Amino acid sequence: MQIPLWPHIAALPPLLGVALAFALPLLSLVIKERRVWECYAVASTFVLFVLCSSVFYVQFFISATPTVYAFGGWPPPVGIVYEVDKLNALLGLLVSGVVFLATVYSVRYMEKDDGVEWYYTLLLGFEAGMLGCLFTGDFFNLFVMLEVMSVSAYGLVAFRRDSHEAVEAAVKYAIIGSLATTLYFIAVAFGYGSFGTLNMADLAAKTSTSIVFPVTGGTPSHSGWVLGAGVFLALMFWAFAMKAAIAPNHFWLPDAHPAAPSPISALLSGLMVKVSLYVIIRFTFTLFGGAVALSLTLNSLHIIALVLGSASALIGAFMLMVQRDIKRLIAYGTILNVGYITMGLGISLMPGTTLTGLTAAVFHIINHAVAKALLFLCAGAFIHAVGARNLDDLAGVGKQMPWTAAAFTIGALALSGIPPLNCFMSKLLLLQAFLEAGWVAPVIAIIILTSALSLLGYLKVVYNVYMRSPATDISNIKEAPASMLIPMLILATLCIVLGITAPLVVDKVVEPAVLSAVDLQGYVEAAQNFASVLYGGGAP
Amino acid sequence: MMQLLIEVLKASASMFTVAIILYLLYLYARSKAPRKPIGDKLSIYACGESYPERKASVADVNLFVAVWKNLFRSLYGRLREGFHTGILSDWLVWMYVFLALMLFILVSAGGVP
Repeated sequence: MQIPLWPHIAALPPLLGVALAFALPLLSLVIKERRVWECYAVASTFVLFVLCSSVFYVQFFISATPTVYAFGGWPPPVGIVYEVDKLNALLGLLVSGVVFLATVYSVRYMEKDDGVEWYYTLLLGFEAGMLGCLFTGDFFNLFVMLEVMSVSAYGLVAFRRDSHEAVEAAVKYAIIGSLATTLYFIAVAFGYGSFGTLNMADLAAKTSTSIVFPVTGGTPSHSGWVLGAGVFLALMFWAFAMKAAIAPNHFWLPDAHPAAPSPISALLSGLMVKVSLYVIIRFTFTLFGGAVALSLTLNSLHIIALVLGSASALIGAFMLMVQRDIKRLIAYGTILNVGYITMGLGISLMPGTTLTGLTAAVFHIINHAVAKALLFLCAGAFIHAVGARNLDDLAGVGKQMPWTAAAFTIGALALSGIPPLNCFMSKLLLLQAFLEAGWVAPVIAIIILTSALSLLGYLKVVYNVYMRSPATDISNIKEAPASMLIPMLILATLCIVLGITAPLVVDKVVEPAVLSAVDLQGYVEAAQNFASVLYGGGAP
Repeated sequence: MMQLLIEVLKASASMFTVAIILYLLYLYARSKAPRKPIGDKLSIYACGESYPERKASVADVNLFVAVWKNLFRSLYGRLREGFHTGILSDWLVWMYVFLALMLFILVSAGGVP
């Protein structure tokens, strides 16, 4: 089946995102009408959503192999390529969908703020950065897109620059984020020094297959790259552990995420940390997954991931339970769930295990993104109405905003792991992975304990907004407007639907994505077909 | 794996059905109870004299969370402030110590075959 404009569509979302972001300030010089900027942002994110949906459709229903797009016609490993398989197509759809909902929500949420043209510019840049990180097949280009994503995120956290909290949080976030990107840059230097390539597929070919790419040549001897690859893996893992807020790198998150406007908190917690986890999956499972010479290194990494994941879950759960600020409470929930996902990755890296842990991790990435975005949007609606973030100030507000409170309750129950909501299903798969691996008592105890603690923490919010008597007169507070309510209701519905249809979703979507994540041969061969052009083999 | 998820869905559906039945029974029982008490039922007597309703009622907040709030207030405060100071340098040292440890482990685990 011929898809119009294919494979250009696979490369369009990040490029178009950047172009649309830079065009908005120019447009705002010509048309000084706030409604136009808002419509522009909503339409732009919708277009990106449609493009990502097309990429998802092609990868899941039409194409059997990853799609490679060579920029400027320069084939890999010389030129920059995007390589899209089922895993990044799925996450691209998730990112574009949630960003679109957050943009629709932002229209009314940001109605009292000035300079929204810059807000939407940064938002589009942020989305482009995330999509670029997901789709790229070049690990230096990953660094560039990581910077695009991160710089936009710092700006968005500091957007309300009249608030000292936002400025301080953004500065902290920028310092830690820059450290992380610098670490990744050093990792890139080690990667390039060891393998002589920046192309991901070429790197994987050199470590694990007999496939030879033109220009960079065949596989060097193990002694030439094993040490460099070890340093690369360590620095790469640590850089993205900082971005994903895996303990002990979690400390910036409870300051940065709550300080941002709520739709941005939803994107930071729901999506950005997941992009970092995707990069860890891509490097450890796809690119280095078949490297026999690195098997001991990867074994060590699985223990490190398990320990740090467990620590994140425990820190997140205990700190979540004691918060009085609704956004900080939800932010600590992100650390908790990132811990679960890291534990899933750790158990799947263990030799002799099945892919249940990775399946659980990928499914939890999707479920947590949906539920966490929902909670932040609901919290934003409460804050928008009341003007405060403290739980005591939100007492009784649920009676005035029944739909928002109901959506919040669904999200909170989902994240606490109440069946049959979506996060319960992925947690169940995670437990199953540990049972299969024979790691029963300690890790399962951590998952159950932290789930119980998070339930207590979230119930505290539900109790406050529904049952407590308001401290002040809140009779003038009204339900959130439709443009804010509809995105919340869509996400709440998704929490239920993803839970009820979990067997189908796992079978048809998550498992194929996981299989493509570990399909090293398919990933390398797709790029090598393009590389054959350099041999004079004709257009691919 | 699919079978496990399907079994969970069945169990959830059963629990949901039971919960709905119990809720309907509760609604039925409520419909039979007198809605507005009348006469002496509205007056509160304590120690031989009438007592204002406002003073006699216990705030719902105390029934549910008072124990937690009072018992664990200081612990919660210590956890909140002690475990998250918001000062970057408090954590940077841990970040670097763990990074150095991980570098050492991964590099020595790799080695030269």
